[in-house]
Amino acid sequence: MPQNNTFNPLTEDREWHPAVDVKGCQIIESRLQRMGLRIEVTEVQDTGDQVLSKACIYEGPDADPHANRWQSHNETDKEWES
Amino acid sequence: MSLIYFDNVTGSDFSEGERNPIAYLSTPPAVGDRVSMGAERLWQVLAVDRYVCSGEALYVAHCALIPIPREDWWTVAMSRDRSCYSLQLHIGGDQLIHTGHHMRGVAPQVGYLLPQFNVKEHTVTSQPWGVEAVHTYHLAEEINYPVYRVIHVCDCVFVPEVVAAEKEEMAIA
Repeated sequence: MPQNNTFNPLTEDREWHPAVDVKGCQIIESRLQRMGLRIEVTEVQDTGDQVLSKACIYEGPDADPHANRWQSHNETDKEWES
Repeated sequence: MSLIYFDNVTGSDFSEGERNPIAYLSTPPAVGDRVSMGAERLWQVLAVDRYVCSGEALYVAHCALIPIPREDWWTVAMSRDRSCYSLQLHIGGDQLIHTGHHMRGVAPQVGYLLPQFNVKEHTVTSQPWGVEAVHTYHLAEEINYPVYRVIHVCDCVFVPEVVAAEKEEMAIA
């Protein structure tokens, strides 16, 4: 019987981002690298979502599975208010 | 009957309902054939590459909405930039249930469940499908401007009881 230890949230050290298509994963990679991050896309998997159909998986010294790379304007406005 | 994978050479430009489909055919499609990728509009087959594994053949039909020279395909550029751009096809009951791409040609592991990335929650869980066997296909002949260096075709089995057990463990823990 197949095991269920492919992805362990306690040990996962890769960074995941959704994208519209495989090309979008490459665009995100370029954007992250322009931010100065040592990171590259190593794997792309289906998500089953109608819009964001691909999950891009990134590895490298700066890959962080808990990273919040892009904040919404709502969150940045709250920072200003506080 | 051979497995045919219809690939979009631009890496994008899909409209709603379109995706890269598979088919089982006695003869592979020909260059110039027009195929549907899940919607009404038709895509043109630009080239057909043959892959083999233990005497069995698999074909990749490279498609686009308009003819594009092979050296200008986005998929060719991806392959050129990566050490071993590979394709993973997960088949369950003759249906394509999941696809993946790996930039270094790493094969999926036997005995593991397929991942499920949940877009809204930004979490990763497991699909009720496990990999039972992996068959690795290589290009039958050398070609200029290859796309996939290897293709891993995975036989998958439906195991919903494993995912249910995982949820119970998570609830208990």
